[in-house]
Amino acid sequence: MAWDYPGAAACLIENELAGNEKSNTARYKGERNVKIVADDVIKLIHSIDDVSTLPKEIRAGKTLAEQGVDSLDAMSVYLHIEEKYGIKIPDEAVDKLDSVDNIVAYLNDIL
Amino acid sequence: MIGLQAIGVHIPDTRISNYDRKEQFSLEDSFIEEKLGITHVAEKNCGDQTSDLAVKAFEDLSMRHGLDKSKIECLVVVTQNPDYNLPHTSAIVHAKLDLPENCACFDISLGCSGYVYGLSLIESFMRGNNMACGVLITADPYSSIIDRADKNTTLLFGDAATASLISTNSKFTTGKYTFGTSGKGYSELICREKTLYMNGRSIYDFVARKVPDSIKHLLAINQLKIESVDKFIFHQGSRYMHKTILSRLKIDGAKAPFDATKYGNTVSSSIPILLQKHLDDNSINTVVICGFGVGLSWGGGVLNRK
Repeated sequence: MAWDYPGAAACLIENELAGNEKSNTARYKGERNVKIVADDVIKLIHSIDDVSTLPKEIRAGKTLAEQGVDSLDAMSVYLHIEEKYGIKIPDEAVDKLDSVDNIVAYLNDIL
Repeated sequence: MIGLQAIGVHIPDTRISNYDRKEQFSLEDSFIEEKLGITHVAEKNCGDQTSDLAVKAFEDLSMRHGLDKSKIECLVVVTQNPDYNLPHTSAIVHAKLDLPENCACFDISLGCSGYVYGLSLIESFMRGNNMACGVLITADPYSSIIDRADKNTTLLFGDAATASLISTNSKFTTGKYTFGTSGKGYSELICREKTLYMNGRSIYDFVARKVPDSIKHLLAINQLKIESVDKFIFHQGSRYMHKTILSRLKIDGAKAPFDATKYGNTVSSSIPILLQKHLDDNSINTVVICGFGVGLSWGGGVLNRK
């Protein structure tokens, strides 16, 4: 496992402690052979209907900011990822999660 | 029965425009209007202290309702920006208003959840001590602790104060409350060395995860459904946060107004400022209030028209 992201190890420890999120984390850890792909994250982003004005088409390799995702919508994206995968993304990791590709790499690292 | 009779409001006239700070913070109009939902923040006169704002809110209450000051038996001030570390600001307000000596005074140190806690506390205090008339003040001018170069806070917070008359001649009585604290997040919204710091992402996560569940719990313990509530008055943090709560609870925006556009997030004053606008609307019988923020703390309550 490559720890490319600062705080990734701490993230796993936090996951163990997170009550409601534990079952999701365990489930995804149990399916570690199933790798998360860009389409999973793009579908998740498209499913967000809270308040976000997210672009209709998301390119995996381009940064979210380049595609018009502002700082508040990015917070919403990270929250939905946390809720879906039962994880807590530490602040130190967030700056590097600026594109779908980077989010996918991060998730496959920590799950 | 003890409950809420009237509310006085003071919002300073001075405004700082977020449009004037677009270049400084690289903002689009759409971000200011649709995401922050706050185009201007109110700012107190630089010489005014918390007690001065409290007095102005009290004067508004007095002007609207012709209060007899000699009948006020308790005065509670919700603030985390007191005039001094000691004495309590309520004692200073007591002096400035020349209230009677048999009037009990104390402060409550809470932020955006403070009005809900304060309402529950003053009601219980008055009931327990057979009091008929009390005033609950909220006054937390953040302008004195904001770094005007900090995008996370300076675009959001505005100054204001409110004074709620709590009496046996009430318009609304309250139902069951719900309260909670995530103390582990205390450092995410904190004042260090007289400067406010906020981790916007942590606060957003906290609100999105905790507030909808606490509202569901509040409705359940009061045997209410969303449909049976006439107004939801939530703390006015930002439009984005407000919409997140509404979306997660599937509450129609018409039932849950966002009102802070022209004055900003006024901390513990946000709920009473908005509540005051609906007090005399007799078509509104059941109101849910919920405050959340510093602590991290939250509190919810139900108001029923008598």
